[in-house]
Amino acid sequence: MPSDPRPSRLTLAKWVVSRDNPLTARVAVNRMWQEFFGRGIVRTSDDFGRQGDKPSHPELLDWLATNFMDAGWGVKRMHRLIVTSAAYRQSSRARQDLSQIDPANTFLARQSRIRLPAELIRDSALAAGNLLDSAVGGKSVRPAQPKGVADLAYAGHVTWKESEGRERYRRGLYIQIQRTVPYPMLVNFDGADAGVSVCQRGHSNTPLQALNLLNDPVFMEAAQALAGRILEEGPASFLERLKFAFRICLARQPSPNEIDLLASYFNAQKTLFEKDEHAAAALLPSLPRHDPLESATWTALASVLLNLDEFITRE
Amino acid sequence: MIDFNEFRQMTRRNLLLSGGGLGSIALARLLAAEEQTSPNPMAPKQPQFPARARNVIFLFMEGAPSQLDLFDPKPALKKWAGMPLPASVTKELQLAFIKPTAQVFPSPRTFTRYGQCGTEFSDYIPHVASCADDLCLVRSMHTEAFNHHPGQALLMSGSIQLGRPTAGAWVTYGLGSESQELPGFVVLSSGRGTSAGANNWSSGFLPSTYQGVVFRSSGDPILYLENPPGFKRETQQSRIAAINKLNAERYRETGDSAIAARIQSYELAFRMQMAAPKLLDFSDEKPTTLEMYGVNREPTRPYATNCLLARRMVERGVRFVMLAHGTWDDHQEINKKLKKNCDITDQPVAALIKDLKQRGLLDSTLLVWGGEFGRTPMAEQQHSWEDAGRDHHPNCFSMWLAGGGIKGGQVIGNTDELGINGVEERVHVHDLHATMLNCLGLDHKKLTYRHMGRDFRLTDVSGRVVEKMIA
Repeated sequence: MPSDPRPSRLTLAKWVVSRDNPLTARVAVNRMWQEFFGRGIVRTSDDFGRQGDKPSHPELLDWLATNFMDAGWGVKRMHRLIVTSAAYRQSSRARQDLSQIDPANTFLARQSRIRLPAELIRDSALAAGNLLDSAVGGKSVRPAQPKGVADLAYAGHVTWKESEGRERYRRGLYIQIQRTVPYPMLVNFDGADAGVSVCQRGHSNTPLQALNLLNDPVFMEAAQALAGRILEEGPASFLERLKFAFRICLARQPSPNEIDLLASYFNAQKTLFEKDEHAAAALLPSLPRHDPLESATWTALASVLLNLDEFITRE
Repeated sequence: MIDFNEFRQMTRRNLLLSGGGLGSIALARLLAAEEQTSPNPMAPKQPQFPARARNVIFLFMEGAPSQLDLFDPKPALKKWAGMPLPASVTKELQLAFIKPTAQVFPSPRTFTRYGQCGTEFSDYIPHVASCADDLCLVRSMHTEAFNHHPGQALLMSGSIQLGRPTAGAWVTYGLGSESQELPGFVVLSSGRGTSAGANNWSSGFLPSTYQGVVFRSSGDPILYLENPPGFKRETQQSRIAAINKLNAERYRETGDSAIAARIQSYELAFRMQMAAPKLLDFSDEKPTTLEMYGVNREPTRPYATNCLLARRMVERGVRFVMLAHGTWDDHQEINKKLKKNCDITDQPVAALIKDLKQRGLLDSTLLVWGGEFGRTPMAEQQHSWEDAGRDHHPNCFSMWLAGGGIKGGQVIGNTDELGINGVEERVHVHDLHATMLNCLGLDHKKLTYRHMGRDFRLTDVSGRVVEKMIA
């Protein structure tokens, strides 16, 4: 701390970001690194003290920290630097020999698979159906949530007036945080309790998440929209449509095994829907130019893709 | 409250050996490593030492029920009726709304001795009173908070600050859950709900898996339980099978154990879809059972339904059930409003105790009844004595415990003759938590989670096990 005849908060603030104090920049770049690699260079990203972990790559941490300061603390620039690095762009495929030597992948011989944060899971599903409104800024929104959630607030004081039109499809980041009755999808996927600062969110894996992706009307609407895209924008054959859907959802081609699996699922599901006259109408009611049964089955297939572990994971 | 004696007695060697030092750092590391690899964070875990209770039902009476009108008779107040208490008695009182000089309001209730133990209970709660020999009544509870939100936060999470994990989250973090088909920590709400809302069952900085899952007592008990329109059992099953086959392909490709866990979650989700509606279907209950709880009539119906659900969940292995009923915040018209809440809850609570007992479940189920603080011996907002109420009172209030590990038929603590302060065997909320965890085979000093550079626990830096409560 520089000596100051009358030290004030400004003295402290200047010291916090001083070029001679590397801690602030180290903590900052470590948190960015954590988001891109699933763990920080210092694993205990909220504790750089004596009880925290030692950095796995101390020279790298210092290089990033000095680089960050020298370039004027530009966060976006730092993101670019990290995501264009060879380390970031590695495949996340596990290798038996590496798993033996470094099970936690501390030394980054490969990239890590990270389950997306709650908001981005919703955004990704909406984006797959071309529904996402990517506008920046503005007031909070209240997308649809199951009936009765808001009723559980104290004395019925919360009214969750659903947003209308494009507002329903705004990014998850803009969902209103109602302290006493938080938006259930965000809670299910480890959205943090807004009452406390956390610098790491959990990556839990629960049956409630499965129910959420399977049955939440928001995700069914995304599946319907994706099915609509496949039928309207995509090519005509089953295989080409499947490839089109894979490109949208997973940014890759399906493997022969996956093609077989999904073709037999498509046929089996179609046969089941055939026996149930109401099913097709309920699944995808609004595509007049397409066979209702065909549309319904594509919705069911689209929903499978939106439920895949790979879909909600940064590979 | 900081117990400085704890530090005084602590030598360096003790520190290293005890839960506060390096031992627990290693444990926290181990747990963190386990979390990364274990496919199911809710898998049942062994307690730290043999447990007396396996499950908890927390009967949370939100808003602070009046101990003076239910559990703690103060005939001496009659002498002061309508008068202020002497300043020497009230000088240190911190009250939310009234002045310490407010007029004294003796309870109009009549108290009767119940059971072998002869503990006195008010005429508003004859059913609970009939279980006197199973109850451990604590008359000397105290807390720091005198407003609802901080008070509830303290009662549930051991801190008046928001964002700490709550008791149910700590317990499921420590013990996992025996239930394969239902969440490990379930919350049922009735009445007006609770003013702290989700903060009362938050997992705070613990993994959010340990957060309380709010069930609804009608319709779908769990959100997103119902198939979307167009899907029936067969089509849903075929959809889940396809998801899992593709996930299995990816698992072979990447070798990531998180995918194996995801597959398991989808299987569990399907089982949950099948099992959860059965939880709510009371057709397998005897009519006498439904009658005992009061499920089919008003005003007991909503709370009786929740009590019966609590028993059915405990039978199915749910670790921690919270039944929140609000509000008992009777600033006015306490005679009328208190009676209303007692009429709703008294019979169902007693039925729950008796039902658990006759099924042999009471020994392994810890029941806790109470609110975030107590109420004042002085009146509030009186136009006439008819509509008088009572203000918040943190210095002394009553709670009771029963069942797993608890010695029934006794009273812990005393309050002074005017009901202002606890005078003997005072029990802080931290002590309650330490004792609850002890019944579950968990040492409150060793159940820790590392956050922001230190090991946190439910009892913060305080709490002692109240040995007298334990059987």
